[in-house]
Amino acid sequence: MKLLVANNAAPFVRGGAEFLADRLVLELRRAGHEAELVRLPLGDTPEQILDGMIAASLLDVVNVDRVIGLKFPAYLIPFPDLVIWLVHQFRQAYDTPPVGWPADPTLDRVVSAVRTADKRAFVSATRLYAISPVVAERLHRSNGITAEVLMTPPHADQAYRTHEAEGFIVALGRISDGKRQVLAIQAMRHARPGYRLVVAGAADNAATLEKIEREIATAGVADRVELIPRFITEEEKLDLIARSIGSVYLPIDEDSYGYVCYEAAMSSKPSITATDSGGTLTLVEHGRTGLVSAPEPEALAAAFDELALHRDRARAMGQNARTLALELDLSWTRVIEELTR
Amino acid sequence: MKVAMVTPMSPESAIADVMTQAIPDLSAWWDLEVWCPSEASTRPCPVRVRPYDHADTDVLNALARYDLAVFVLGDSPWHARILPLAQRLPGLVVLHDASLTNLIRHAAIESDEFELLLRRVEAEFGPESAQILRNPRSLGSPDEWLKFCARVPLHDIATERSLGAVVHSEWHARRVDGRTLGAVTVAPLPVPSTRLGFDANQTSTSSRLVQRLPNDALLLVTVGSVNANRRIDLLLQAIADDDVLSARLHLWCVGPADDGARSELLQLARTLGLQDHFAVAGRVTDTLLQEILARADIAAALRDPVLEGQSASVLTQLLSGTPVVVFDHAHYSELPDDIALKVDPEDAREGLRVALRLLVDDEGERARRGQRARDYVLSERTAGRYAAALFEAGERAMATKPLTHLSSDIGARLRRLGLNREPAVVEAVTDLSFDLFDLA
Repeated sequence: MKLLVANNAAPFVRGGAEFLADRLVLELRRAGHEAELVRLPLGDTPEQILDGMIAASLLDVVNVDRVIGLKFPAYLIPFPDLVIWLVHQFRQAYDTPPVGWPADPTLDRVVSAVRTADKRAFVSATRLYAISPVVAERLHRSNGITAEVLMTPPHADQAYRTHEAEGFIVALGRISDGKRQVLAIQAMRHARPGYRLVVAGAADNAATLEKIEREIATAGVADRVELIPRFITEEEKLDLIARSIGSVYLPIDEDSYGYVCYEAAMSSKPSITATDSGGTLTLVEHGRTGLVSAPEPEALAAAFDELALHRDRARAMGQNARTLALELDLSWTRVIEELTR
Repeated sequence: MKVAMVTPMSPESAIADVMTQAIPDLSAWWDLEVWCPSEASTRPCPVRVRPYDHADTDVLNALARYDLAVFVLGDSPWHARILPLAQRLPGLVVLHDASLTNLIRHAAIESDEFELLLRRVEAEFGPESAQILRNPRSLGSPDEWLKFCARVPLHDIATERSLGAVVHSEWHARRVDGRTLGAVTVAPLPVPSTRLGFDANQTSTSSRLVQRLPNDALLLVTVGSVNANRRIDLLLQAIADDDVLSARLHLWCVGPADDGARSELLQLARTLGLQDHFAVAGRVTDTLLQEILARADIAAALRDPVLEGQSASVLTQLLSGTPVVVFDHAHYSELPDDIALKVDPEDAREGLRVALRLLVDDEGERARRGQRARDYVLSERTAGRYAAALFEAGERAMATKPLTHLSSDIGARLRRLGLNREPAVVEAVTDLSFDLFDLA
């Protein structure tokens, strides 16, 4: 099959969706298909958003058997065989502020156009998948359309392993306001003694790192929080997880299940996440594969304590997490089968 | 180039008359055929005439085989079987009236698309206008309906798929601009052929009406339907305001008049003491019209509101060598200043009095303006010039054809996602198209 993977393109921004698109093209080729990636510009202003929509909806695709659309406005490309694997919609047009745009006559016109085009595109697509239950649920809530969940496999195939837990809980991932490592640090003020928190990852910027360091000092937990503020290798990461009691990951309304949670699960470690963390709840079932806490320091401290002070229970949850992760069959083989059938 | 001109060809249609005048010249440039709604009789024509009974698919398909179709439209029932073709086949539209409200309304009712039209009017002009269009009688008076027609002309419904439009004044061109994909061409409307003449041998007086007029009387005439927008009431008041005018001027209204309008004006004339100087001549033959105009000293054309794209009756008056008083608005403003006396409609009564006094007092001025008027029509308003303008409009329409394919393609693509009804998208695409294809 000749497949065109369509993604959007915000200049100089490269995140999970861009990695996903690249990997999808690679996996399609590995499976014997011809695959190309097209990226359609998406600007910031309402006028640019509108231009992006129009450009996508007027695009003439030739010499292609199927278009696989990932993100707005790329999935608006007119093509008779369009399969949408929805990474996420243009949330400014759906969510309440601050994510969504405030009510404004100028913005309302653009919102109306986005919603109209989205609904038609979703309804007329050959098949419609969402990358996570959260994205599918949002789609159903906002557009009344049901999408099959086809979760994204992890970026890399790793040699996951597990070791006897040492005395720390690990907080992995890019250090940013959105990932709320600061909340985990504040929780350590209320945690019982006997274990530590290891925060490891590159900070988004100097201000974020400074904020984290200041929080450690202010909370008086420098002796219980180890900060590794740099990009860590895959090997370092797997080693940290393998030796940890469990993992804590506290994003806000994450679209996907969270690779951090997946890596912990595959390493037979439980995860702690927050009730408002969105897609992480796919892998973190409270009391079975990990703990789900209110996004407050005291509540989080209680969850930390529960894992740290009840190691047998934590170990059992970790094993359950691995079983669940395997059951989800997060393999590229399945994704490619679905998208090309 | 094979061209079909779709026009009324009834002997009674003045529009058919002026279009027919252009045909000899046009047939030298185009391989021209005339298509017309069938009538009991059609006027003579130098090219093949193909009458049709219904504006159906067969006619449409036949017209589509021409390189260009020219649709001639005016706001009368003569055009009811032409409009549906113009709406479905992109062609060149010749608009004789600035408002097509009656025609469009009638056609929408006939085609069961009235509710659609009402929704469109509501969206553009508001719910009150839609309600008036649904029930014109709710306005209470014909005068109000005429004002409504001027405000809600609906001409865009006839032009929105067209390759261009031909109009007969710059004023009308400005109203139509942007309502067609192609160019708007201003063509100089010729004088209806039945009214041509006014040579010396045609000025002899044979009618009793004209014979009864005192030799020293100055005759002021209006030509055309005697209705509310002819503002004959203002003329009477202006004359009554001035002793000289009251004493010397006789006002005749030439043209069809219903009983209500006639009795109202006669009553007003009596009230003002002008009953012996006022007459409603009613509908007259073309011969009698020529006699009256040949005898007339001054003409007045005070349309308000203005619903036609050009005034054939004013051109007829000018051809007769009669100086004309007009309102200084719409296409009347475009008449040369040394021909027409233009009165500010905001100060109409006093303005009319002053203008009429100028002409009444100065016989030389009347003669000079009359001669210039006649010269102007004879040189500028010829069938040849009209045909040349139509030919140029046809060339422009042909150049527009690729754009119709473009707009059709873009429209189809936007429709796929429902974006053709999203104002933000339509505006953005339109702006971009204007920039790219120099449509401004």
